[in-house]
This record gives sequence, structure tokens and C-alpha cells, in this order.
Amino acid sequence: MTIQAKIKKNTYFDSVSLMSLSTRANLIEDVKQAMIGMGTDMNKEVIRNVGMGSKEIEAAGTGDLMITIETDNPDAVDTIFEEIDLLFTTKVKKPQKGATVYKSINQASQEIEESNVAIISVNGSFAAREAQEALDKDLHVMLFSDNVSIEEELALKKSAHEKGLLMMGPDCGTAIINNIGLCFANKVRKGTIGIVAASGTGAQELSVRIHEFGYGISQLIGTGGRDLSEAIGGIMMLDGLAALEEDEETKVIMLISKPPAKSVEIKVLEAVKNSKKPVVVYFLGGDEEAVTKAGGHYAKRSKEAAIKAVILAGAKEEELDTHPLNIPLVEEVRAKLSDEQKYIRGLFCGGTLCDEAMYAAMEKLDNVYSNIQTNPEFKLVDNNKSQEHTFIDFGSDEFTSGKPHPMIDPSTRIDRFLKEAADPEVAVIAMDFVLGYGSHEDPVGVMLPAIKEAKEQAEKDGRHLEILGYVLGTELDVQDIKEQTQKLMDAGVTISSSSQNTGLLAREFVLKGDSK
Amino acid sequence: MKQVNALSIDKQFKEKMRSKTVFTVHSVFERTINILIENDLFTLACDQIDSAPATLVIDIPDFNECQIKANTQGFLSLTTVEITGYLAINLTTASIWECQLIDFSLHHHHLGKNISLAMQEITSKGNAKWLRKENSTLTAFDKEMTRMLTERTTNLIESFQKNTNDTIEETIQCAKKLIGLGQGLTPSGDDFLVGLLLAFSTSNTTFFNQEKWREQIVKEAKSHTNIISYSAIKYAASGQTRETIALFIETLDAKENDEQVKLALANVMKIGSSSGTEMAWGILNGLTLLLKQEEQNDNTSKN
Repeated sequence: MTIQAKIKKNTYFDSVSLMSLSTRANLIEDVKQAMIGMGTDMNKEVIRNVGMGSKEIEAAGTGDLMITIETDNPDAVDTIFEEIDLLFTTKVKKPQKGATVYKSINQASQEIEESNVAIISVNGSFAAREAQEALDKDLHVMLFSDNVSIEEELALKKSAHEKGLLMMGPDCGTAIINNIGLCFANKVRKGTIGIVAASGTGAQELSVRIHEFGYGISQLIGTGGRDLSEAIGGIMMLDGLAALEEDEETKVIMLISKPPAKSVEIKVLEAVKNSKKPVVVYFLGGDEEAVTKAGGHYAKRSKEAAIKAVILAGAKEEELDTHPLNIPLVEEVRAKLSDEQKYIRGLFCGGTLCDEAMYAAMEKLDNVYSNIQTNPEFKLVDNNKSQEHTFIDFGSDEFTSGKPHPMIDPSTRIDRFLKEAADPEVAVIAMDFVLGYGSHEDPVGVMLPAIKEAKEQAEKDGRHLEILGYVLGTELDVQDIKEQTQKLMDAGVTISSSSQNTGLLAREFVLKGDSK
Repeated sequence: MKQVNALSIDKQFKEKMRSKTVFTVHSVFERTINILIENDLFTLACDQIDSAPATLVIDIPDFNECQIKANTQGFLSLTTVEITGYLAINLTTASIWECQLIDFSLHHHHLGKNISLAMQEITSKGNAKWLRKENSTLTAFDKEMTRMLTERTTNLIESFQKNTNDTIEETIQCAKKLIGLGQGLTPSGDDFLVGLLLAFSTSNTTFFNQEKWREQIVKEAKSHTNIISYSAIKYAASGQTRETIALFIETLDAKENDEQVKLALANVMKIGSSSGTEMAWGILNGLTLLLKQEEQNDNTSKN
């Protein structure tokens, strides 16, 4: 065992960089352990306590940076320090070749006169100010930031509405404008179906299904998840609907939202009634009779909505491969589960994917809990502890505070997955793997070691652990969907072909003697 | 040379502007630059950083473009801060900011509930490894650091619980063992003490000799941690902190509102890598100590 230390005199790095450097240094080949920290007496004591003390460390001052490593390969010491030095110099991400960095919306809009959309992703405390500045410059806005107050959202949307601009967001994760995906979006072909969505992954799911059925998207306008709340009154969904009404390329319109406020649903359906184009309405928990009465095309589930839209756009139903539910698979899985294995645990990165699966479960099961349940009776008491059938949206604010969204870093659900997998009462764990712009480059790869570990442990314990995976994406996405799916299958994961089927399969797996 | 406007200036910083003074750049980060004026540290911060003691917030998104290096000389006047050859900041556009921590009423029933909620949030979602309930990926170093931080913060709290001015030496010794302990630029132990000092500043408690304790901690910090962390401790000892933290403290004292407490805490936890979480932990532990003391006082007076 070799221990070596280096001191950088009077060197200051911010804490985020220091922690990141330390983490990355621990991943360098041949490093058994590495520590980078300030040279205080107390830190020296910790280093001594773990047997890594040295003369160099003892000589460090409080303003010095200590780097100490432990390795079993003494020949690698120089290389290790060279690599650590490299980490210091590559800490700041430089703009990519060809990219121009502007310091403010003002500067960017002045220098790119033809610009007409601003995408804003800053800390929520400053997001409204930046969005208002963009609107003042007559730019449409896509506001990715969350933690914007409802009052600020209302003011921004009113301001945009008065100016005839789109105010997509806050907390708007998905849009496709003129075939360009913004933030989280999948690469899909251009077509004649326009979507207005108050739901990010729900919109991704619709666009992907439409693409799969051979059709394409004219525009996908996001509104932000709170748009159909009582307070906001659906301002952006109504404006989006009006914009698609005017858009010549759009022949069919789709509206998607998590459960809307009743008064807003009525307002939106009134607009649907006046629409000259066919409108498919997919509101989770929506009112079929009200939609039909308004002349809209009601859809209870996402795939059903996509099928209706493509048929309205000209597809023949009999020619569509709709992937009906695989009943023999349901029977096969049920036979493998013991009587003790009763519960579904849904661990989702996508909020609407979680919602859709949860709604499917709630149709036949009474005890369905979640961090996003609207019924307080079934809201999880502790989000870190599952109760009976549990569906977790890891993209929800309570899990993302100070951390990247799980679609960017899916590792945030690994610990929870392993915990659920060890629970003998768990029958099936359902998970989504979202591909596309903005998403992790290998979301399946991140989870794979944990999936393998869980499967092996379940086998040792003499039980079958059913893992149901859904890869949301198209063959055009930057990640290879075939490879992602194959990796899951090789690890013994059952693949679902859509968000709709994910919820239905999970539910049917745990039901005994009630297959449909 | 880049010219920018100042957005806000801390009152103490403004007071330094009275005469033409030379300064040296101490350290440069992406979004802050520290300068040394007569051995005191002051901060120039970009527009997304909140107002803070000894800080000048300026209308610039980051300092990457400026290419300023440590040890560069600069000067300040009544209307300008200039880092020679790199950056000139117009001070006439700045509004004056001053940290004002509220005085707590320790009798509010909801304070205890808000504290308990915030503590749960920290142990389940906070960024400090040593405070997390579940931690699967700790190195031997992390484990030892966790052990020492846990043991020493617990010892400090217990020493306070013994109460009375007689035990003040013990509390000082316990606090000394935290100064400089932790990996970040502002070590975890320092951040915890900053929180504790701020909590004590919210109440005119007499359950121990606060003044002596504060003085000793500041004195010890000067030689046992780096100057950036020392400055934070020094300002906290006089009840001064950044806007986000002051807002969090205020939210705890406001009426019971889980969402607001969570939001204010989430904003604090975004500070640094784990510093925000650790400062919040110090604040919550400090307030808990004050509450317990208040309860004891009430019971004594009833008896």
C-alpha cells in the first residue's frame, strides 16, 4: 500500500468543485482512496485516523489544498497525480466549438435579431424576472425552471397572452417547435398532429407513439404542469390550442394534461367545441361525457389517444400494430409469484408515466399510494417508505431539490430500487427509461448493476422478482433504443411497449384470477 | 476593461468606500471573487448570488470572461470598484442591503413543528453525506469524517444542554473540535457553527454567556480554518448572514406552512455542495436548544 500527498499552496476551489474533484479522483484507475480538502488541523486528524497521514499533510496550512491518495500500485502514483491535475484544469466546461455565449437575454436578443424564442433554465428565484425580460423583448418563452410562484406564473402568462406570445412553463420540460426538440424531447418525424401539453413525459409518450404508428408532429407546445389549475385557468392551453388552430400544417390537435381543475376543464372543452379541427382530449381522470359532448375525441389512456389521433390524420385502424396486452405473459408471470408477493412498486422518472401507471392500478386496486396522489388519503406518509402498492415520481420537487432531474441522472432511484427489490411482499417493480434530447446518455446502463444485483438476491431468497421496464424513445433518438432494450432483456427485465401497457401489465401481474 | 453596474451592496462594504483604498484579489471562483481590504475579506458576486454580508452583487452572470487572477491589485472609491485592467464596477446603481435577522418569539407553537419538519427534510434529502439517513457509497475517509462530525456536533449540543455559564468552557472546547472539520471550502464543522451562531442571534437568551462564547469561536476560527470560512463565522457571530438563510429563519418563525418551510430550506440547501444543508442543521439545532431552555425557564417560573 502506498500513500502519497501533494499540497497546493493558497489554493481555493468552491465546495461543489472540491466535492466533484474528490469524487472523480476516487474513480481514477489504481486509486484505492483519494481525498482532496482544505489543510485544516481537523481535516489532518481525519486523514491520520484513516491511516493516510504524511509529512506533507502535516505541513499544510489552513489556506492550502491537500491531495492525498492511497494505491496498491506504487508505479501508478505519478500517473494518478497527473490525472488529478487534469481534473483541476478541466473543471470548467468550456463552450462547445461554434457556440456563442451571451451574458444576458438582452445581449442575445440584440445580437441575434431574428431570434424569437428564449429558453430559460435558471434558479427559480430569478426565473420570473428573466422570463419577463424575454417577453418584454417580444420573445416566446420556454421556462424550464421550477420553484416559480403561482402569482408570478399568472402574471407572466397574462403578459404573454396580451402580447400574443407563448409562455411555455414554468416547469415546462418538453416542446417540439418546427421539428426542433427543446429540453426533454424525442426525435420524431414531422407531421400533421399538433399537441398542447401540460405534461412533459405525457407529451413525449404521445409524440413517440404517433411516430411509431408512422405519423408525425407539427408542433408540440408545452404549457407547464400548473396551467390547468384553478389559479392559472388554462391560459396557455387555450392560447396553444388557438395557435394550432391557426397553423396550416396541423390537421389534428391533441390536448394532454394531468387531472385539470373542473372549472378549467369546462373552459378548455368550450374551446374544443369551437375548434374547426378534430381534437383528441387526453386528460388523466377526465370526463368522457363532457369531452364527447364538446365534440372532442375522448381518450382514457395515452396509446389510445395516439391511435385516435393517427386515425383522424388518415391512418387505417386495421393497419396499425397497436401492441395489445400480452395475456399469456400475464399468466406466466402470475404463476411465478408467491402468495406473499402482492404489491406493485412503480419507480418513475417521468411524472405522467407514473400517473398513467398509477391510474391503471387504481382502476382495479384500492390501496394505491404515491407522492403524487391527489387524494390525500393515499398520499404517502413518508415518501421514502412505500405503502402497499406505491408509485413514485422521482421528478417531483421533493426529490429534485438541489439535484438534477432523474431523467438527467437516473441514479437517484438506485437506492430505492434496491430497497423495494429486497421487500418479500413486492411482486413487480415497474420503471421507465426515458431517451431523447436532454436525457441521460445511457439510462439503462446506470440501473443495470442494481437490476442484476436485485435479481440475483431474489433468486438466492427463492423468489421471483418481476421487473417491468419501459424504454420511451424512437429509433431516431441519440441513445440507441435497441441497445437499451436489449440490455434490459439480457438482465431478465420484461419489456413493456408503451406507457399504457406498463400500467396495465403491472396491475394485471398482481391480480389473481382476473385477467383481461 | 469590462464595465458593469452594481446591483446591491452590503452596508458594511459601503462603509469601506469612504476613501480611495487599494485591495488585492484573494480568490476567484466562477460566480464570486473575494478581495482583501485591510485584511478583511469582501466579496464581489454575480447577479444570481443573493445579497450577503460584505458582498457587492453586480450585474454580470459569471466571471469566466474577465480572466481575473488571484493577487491582482485593485482600488475602490466612493463610486467605483476597479480590478485594474479587468473590471470596473459602477457603484452608483447599487441599492444598499443590510442583513436583519428577526427576533424570535420562542413561544410560538408552530416553531417546534417547523423545526422538526425541516430536520426531517435534511436527513432525507439534504446534500450533507454525514446527515443522511441512508448512505450506501461512503469511502473510508467519508465514514471517518461522518463519525467525527456526528460525534462532535452531538458532544457540542450535549454540552449546551448541561446548561449554565459554568459549562461554557466545555462548549467552547467542543466547538473548537469542529472548526476546520470537513472537506469543502467552508468545512462542514464551520458551517454547523455558523448555523448555531445565527440561531443564537435570533434571541436574547441568557442561558449562557453568549458574548464570551461568540468571541472565543471567532478567535479560534481565525487560526484554525481558512479566511473565507472564518469570515462567514465572524459575520454569523454578529447575526449577519446571506439573504436566503435569513429568509429561511424568518419562514421558521412565520405561521405553520409546510410548503413554505420546505421551499425556503430547499433554497438554502442549494448553497455550496453541502454548506447550505449544514448551516441549516446548525440553525435548527440551535433553535431547538433555545426552545428547550425556554421550556425549562417556563417550568421553573411556574414551580
